[in-house]
Amino acid sequence: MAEEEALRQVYDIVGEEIVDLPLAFPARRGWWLCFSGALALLALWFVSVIVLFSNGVAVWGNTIPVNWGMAIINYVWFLGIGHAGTLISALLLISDRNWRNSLNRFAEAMTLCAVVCAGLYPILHLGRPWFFYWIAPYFNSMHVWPQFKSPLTWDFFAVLTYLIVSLFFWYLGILPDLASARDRAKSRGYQVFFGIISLGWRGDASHWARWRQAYAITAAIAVPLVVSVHSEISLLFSAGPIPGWNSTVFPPYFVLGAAFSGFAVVGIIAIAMRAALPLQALVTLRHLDMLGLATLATGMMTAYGYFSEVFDALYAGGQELATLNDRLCGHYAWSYWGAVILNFIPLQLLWWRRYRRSPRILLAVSLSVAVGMWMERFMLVVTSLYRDWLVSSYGHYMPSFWDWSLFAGMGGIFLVPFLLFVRFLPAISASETKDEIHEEATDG
Amino acid sequence: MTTGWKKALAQLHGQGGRRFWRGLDELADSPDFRKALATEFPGLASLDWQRRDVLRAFGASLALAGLAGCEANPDDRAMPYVVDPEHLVPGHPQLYATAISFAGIAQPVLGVTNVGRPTKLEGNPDHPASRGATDAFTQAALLDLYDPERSQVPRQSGIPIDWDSLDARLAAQAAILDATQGEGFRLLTGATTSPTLLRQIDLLFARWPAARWDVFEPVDDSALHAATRAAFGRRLDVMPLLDRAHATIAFDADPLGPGPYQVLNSLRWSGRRRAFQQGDGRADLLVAEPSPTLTGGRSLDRLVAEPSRIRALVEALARIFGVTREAPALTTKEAQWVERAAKILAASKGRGLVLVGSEQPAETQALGWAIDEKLGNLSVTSQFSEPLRPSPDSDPEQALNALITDMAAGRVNMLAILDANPVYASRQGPAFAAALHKVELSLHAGLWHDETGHACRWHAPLAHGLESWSDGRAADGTAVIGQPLVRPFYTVRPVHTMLAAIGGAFGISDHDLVQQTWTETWGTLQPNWNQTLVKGIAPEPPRVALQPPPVRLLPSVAFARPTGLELLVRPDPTIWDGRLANNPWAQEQPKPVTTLTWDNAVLIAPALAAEHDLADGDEVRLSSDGVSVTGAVWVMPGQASNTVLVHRGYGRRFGEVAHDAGFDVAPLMDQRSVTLTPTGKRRKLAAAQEEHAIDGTDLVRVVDYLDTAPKPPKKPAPSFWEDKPLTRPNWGMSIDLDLCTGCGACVTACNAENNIPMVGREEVRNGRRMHWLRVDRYYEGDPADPKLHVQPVPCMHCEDAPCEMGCPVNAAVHSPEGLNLQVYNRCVGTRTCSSFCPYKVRRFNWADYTGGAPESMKAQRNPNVTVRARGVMEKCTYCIQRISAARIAAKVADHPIADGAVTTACQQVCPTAAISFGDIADPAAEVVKRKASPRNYTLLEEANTRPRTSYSARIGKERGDG
Amino acid sequence: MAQIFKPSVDTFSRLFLAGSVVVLIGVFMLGPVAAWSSYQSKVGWAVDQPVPFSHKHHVSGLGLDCRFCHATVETSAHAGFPSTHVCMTCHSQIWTGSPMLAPVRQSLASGRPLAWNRVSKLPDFVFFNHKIHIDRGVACVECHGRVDQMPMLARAHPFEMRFCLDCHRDPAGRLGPTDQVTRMSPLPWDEATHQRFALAAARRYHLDPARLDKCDICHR
Repeated sequence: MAEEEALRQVYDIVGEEIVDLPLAFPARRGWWLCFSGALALLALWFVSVIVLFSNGVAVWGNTIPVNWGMAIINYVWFLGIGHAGTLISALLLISDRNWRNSLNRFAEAMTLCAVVCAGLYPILHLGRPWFFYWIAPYFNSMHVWPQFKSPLTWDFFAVLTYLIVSLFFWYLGILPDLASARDRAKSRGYQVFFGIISLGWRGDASHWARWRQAYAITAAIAVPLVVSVHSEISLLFSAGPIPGWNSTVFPPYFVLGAAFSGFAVVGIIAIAMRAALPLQALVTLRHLDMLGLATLATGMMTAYGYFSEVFDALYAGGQELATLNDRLCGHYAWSYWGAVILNFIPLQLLWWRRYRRSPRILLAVSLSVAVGMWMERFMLVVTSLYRDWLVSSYGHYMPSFWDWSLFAGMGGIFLVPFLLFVRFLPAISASETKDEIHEEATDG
Repeated sequence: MTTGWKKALAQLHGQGGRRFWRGLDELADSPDFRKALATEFPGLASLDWQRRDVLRAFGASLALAGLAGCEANPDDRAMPYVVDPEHLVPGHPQLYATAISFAGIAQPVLGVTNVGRPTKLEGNPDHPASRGATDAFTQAALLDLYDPERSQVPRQSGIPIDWDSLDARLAAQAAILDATQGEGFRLLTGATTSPTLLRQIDLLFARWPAARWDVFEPVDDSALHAATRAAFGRRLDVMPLLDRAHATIAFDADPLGPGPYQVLNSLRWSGRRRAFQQGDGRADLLVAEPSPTLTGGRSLDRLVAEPSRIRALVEALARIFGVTREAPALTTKEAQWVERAAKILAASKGRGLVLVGSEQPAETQALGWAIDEKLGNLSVTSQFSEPLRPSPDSDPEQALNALITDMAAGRVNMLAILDANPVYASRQGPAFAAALHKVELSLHAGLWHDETGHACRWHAPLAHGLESWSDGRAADGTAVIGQPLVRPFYTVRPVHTMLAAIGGAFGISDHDLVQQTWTETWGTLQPNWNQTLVKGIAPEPPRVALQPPPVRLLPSVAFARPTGLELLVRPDPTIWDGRLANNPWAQEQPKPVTTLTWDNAVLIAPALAAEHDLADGDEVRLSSDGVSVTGAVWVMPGQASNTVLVHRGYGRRFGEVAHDAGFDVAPLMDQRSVTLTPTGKRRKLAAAQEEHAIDGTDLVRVVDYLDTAPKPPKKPAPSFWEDKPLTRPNWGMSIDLDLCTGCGACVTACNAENNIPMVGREEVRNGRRMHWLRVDRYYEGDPADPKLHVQPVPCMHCEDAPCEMGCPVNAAVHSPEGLNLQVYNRCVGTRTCSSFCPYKVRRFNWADYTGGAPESMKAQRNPNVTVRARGVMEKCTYCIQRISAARIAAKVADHPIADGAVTTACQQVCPTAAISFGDIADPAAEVVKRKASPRNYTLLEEANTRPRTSYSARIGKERGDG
Repeated sequence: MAQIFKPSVDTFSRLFLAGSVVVLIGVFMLGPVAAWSSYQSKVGWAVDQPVPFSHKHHVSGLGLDCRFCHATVETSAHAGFPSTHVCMTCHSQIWTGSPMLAPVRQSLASGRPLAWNRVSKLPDFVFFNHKIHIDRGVACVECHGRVDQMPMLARAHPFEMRFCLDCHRDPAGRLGPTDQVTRMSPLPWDEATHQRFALAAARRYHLDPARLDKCDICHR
């Protein structure tokens, strides 16, 4: 009895800490500060897009031969970030790793925002964005279908599927907490708001039973996506006969790199939220430790990808070797070495438990990885194109102001919904945390 | 129907149907009409109402409006003729044999018109000086016709006036001159070969004996004529007969380079070269020159020699054949080269040719002829004739100075300048302009209201060559008659009518004047006249080639090697003396050697650059006794280290396109040496190609003559793709790198044929030029003395094309005829095709390059080629519009497409016939024979894309050559 | 704790969910439906003209052949519009005073072209060639419909890519005798004759649908 009582009290605390967050948000001023910043970026995004659409891609730095630039770089980068969310929630759910529970919710939210940014980039990148839907197969008066040999056609499906599944998965997960938020809400407004979006969840046994099934099934669908989507993206490069691209290592290399950058970004957000909102009790050092381990693991695998690439080049010789040479000591060597250093040097700290458990260190490492992975994408796209085959078509690439402004603007696209989520929805899965506590308690 | 439209057309009332078109022509520049066009047909250029062409011009805007997916603008109108013009079938292009004059030399062409608009100039295949080929200048000349900045009305001190007031003034003046026997009247024309103009001038000066006629041509033959006067006692033209020359030794001479004789020389050279390829005789070419030229690029052994060394080299060669006794001191390198030259000349005794550039002093040129004389080459490989471009003055430079002094002294009361621009193009420009103020009646007649136009009190707009009747002589001396392809767009006058008006005779049509000339020549007009208009060659008694009189050797004037750097001032390879400066096609045409566009530069050797620590684009000041110009340097591999080369034609002071491009070198024009001082500033130069060194690659293959024995064909590398059946027709191209000189005519021809937009200096710098066909320029070996290579690169039309598998929307697809198609209206612009293309031949419309073009220029566009919209990928199509035309014709006639029925624009224009195109499934086709040659290879075989465009390797080492 | 919603909300929310799905699908359908509608393709929409010219009257009434006015249809890519002069060959004799024809007379007098409103239009990136189609015996009526029954001309078929492809992917059936290309009424043939002719023609012209539906046939 006493135990049960104690447990109930713990539940209440958890409930307060998580579910009451939106209802009585602790850091209002801080939030408004961030949010207005995000809105400013969003405005910048609109300006950049208007400029882009009224003048054409000419406002960017793209040229022949480097006719893919920031757009594709950031597309791959954002999509990569997104992967961690799904990976953490779905994969760890299936493999029944409970430590995920405090992280998965906002990791998934982060995934959603990232995928939206990623999805927007290829469309903005088009020469005639108003015809982007031609990539989709639909009955048209032209009697023409997309070209299914092309990796881009599959990009379209991949990203779309990924977006839908993660959205569904996230919403499904948050449903019970929305209900409890509804129940704890005092003001009428919140009651109605949560009442509507919790779809009349009453939390009786049958609800929970179905919910668990649905959640598990969705997770099962989501996991293969983690692998397939980024493998598919990698074909966008490796399908072309361009030195530095045309390599079989790309699919695993991309997936791992994606997870790597993803874990890093989750770490950043976890630490930030942990500091901003009083969540230390829920996002514990153990969680950071786990994140650190995951980052370290995927990071080392990515490092292996680098090695195998170098080996391939040495083995293949010819143009491949020339490209490797360009990467190591060419005009854009900074991007290669930047990637290598930022990705792997600070990473080594995470071999030590006490660094993994120090929010500061982990934050620093994660930030450097996020930047490093961006540099890697830059290196992949630019160093292969600017000197590919013919000496006569060597060229250079210099991102223009509007390249950068759009990138910054995408920050707005990412942050605005994410901050709204943090503010108005339970950012951490209360129900699952309670489960966890329950199980631990009952296991004794 | 907008009111502007109504107003414009209202002006046509009272004109009968037959006069409608003229009426419209005359109207074409009225503001109402322009406004109306803009509102009624956004994008329609002028005077034609054909639906296809209307839509053509819609191109960009249409796609931008998002209609590309569905249909055309729902409310565009069809405007049939009021009375059908005779022989005009809308949709059938009409060809007229005519001629375009370049620096006085007539270039025989066939003008292609679509529903009344000239859209392309082709070489006249029946004319021996063209054989269907033209140079880049002639191709570009078409665009001048549509230049919105062409002068459109007469002007008095800059203010537009009507013709009547100008005519009144001229009439009055003519009366006075009649009284005074033409005292104080001076006529200044550009060089001309037009029998009619010369006849008019003769008549005029018979009437006004006291008057005087001078010729000002910025780049003329006077240096050559001076030399022939010294060597042969008279002014003569000397044409090298490269088709007969088995061994050619060129000293600072560039017969294959740009200029009015380029096509003829290239034809002849390639004739010999092709014969040599087939094992008939030799075609050895040795060149000693200060800076790389097209001729130097073709040479078997190129010696880098500064201008002042040429004399010594020629002497050394002369001494070997016992022509002179002087023994100049030579470096070992020079000695070896001369040695080899002598060996080659001796081997082809009686069929050799020694060419000394006309920039060289007379005695050096004479020495060259002496060698030929000694070896019995002279009468075989050189053709002597009376000057093609007659000039009253033996020394035009002097004559111009004399004219200026006369003007300044007030001895000139009327100066008429016909089609010449001395104020810009002559060194004495400022003095000339100043002196003009002293002239009571100064009249400039030209295509543009240019520098000279501004300096003169009166200005009269001339008609473009394609708008008026004229005649002239082609490079080989045969006479041609130029007939108009279109009525003048503006109220302008043909040059002949203008000259008549100067003589006080008004309303005389150019047509009558030209006919009169030829009636006198032939005795009777018909049937010759009609034949000439059909064939383009005016029958005349054959010109007898003069036997060269014995060469008079001149005492070698000992000249000191100039102190400081030797300066060379040469005409620009793409805009010549500046006459094409306002022509976007010419400006964006990469210079054949530097690949620069939109600018001239100070060309210096790598050594000199290193010495002054200069890089491409660094600004320097060239100064020589008091005068100086500043310009950006361009490091030129293979240039003599103490030589500086600058090009004329830039630094124009008029014209949207022409002005603020490059720098004017006029002040330095008669300097021989300069000092070079960096200013520390930088200028942005736009080169079409960033890197040129190809050591260790096999992009351009060079084989030994002996290697040209047949080899067993290589079996194709394995591929994932299934083999496609070789059904007929199946198109392919072969480019012979042994014949290509890199002149770039193909690039401009492609612009004209395929509606290729020009993007301007900035975009070229950004790597965004749109040329479908580019001529790559490579250097191999030591930058101080590299081997020079050129390689035209169109789309390879790969059999296994990476671009095709990259495109998500099926815009890049393969046709059963083997064409690698690009469907513009399906393209969404992912640019994957370009990323995947190993040859980077694809071009992307980064911005709306076509919509913003001046209305008048849109009228030039080829109605059979889609105008590409913003955000669309494009590339070489093998001139698919020509293939379609041939296919339909063949279908209707019910026979397979014959070999040669389809010629691509680049193939048709090529003066050396380096490009061959045809059905590779037709065993009889020429392209198949070429591809069967052991010299045949494809670019980037290792990429395994199986290109349909293949190359024939250069023959680096001639038979029996050491 | 008091209920926030009435029980009926359940029903509403269910309806809403179901409805939103339907709406979503509807939106996606709307595009294609609009694109395929005659509103887009302008089929059957009579276009008014400066002169109310009746093809019905001139073709079935007077029995004029198409080529009388569209003279270059056999020789050129363009069928060609009749010049004002052509109209006046007859109308200088008949209906000389008719107010309806005033614009025509005025056009000839002023030299100002008549501005007909286009009925059959193609985008500028489509290169249709009348000559070859006529030469192969594709009758005018195949694309332009029964103009002999149109007082005011209207588009008979959607001039969209699907329409061109339908024929290019199955050309044989559309072919007729070349001397009958301007015939408006259906040929008095039975199915078998049609079949026989179609096959013969296809063989005669080496028609290959696999070739005819390739992009480069119409797009350059």
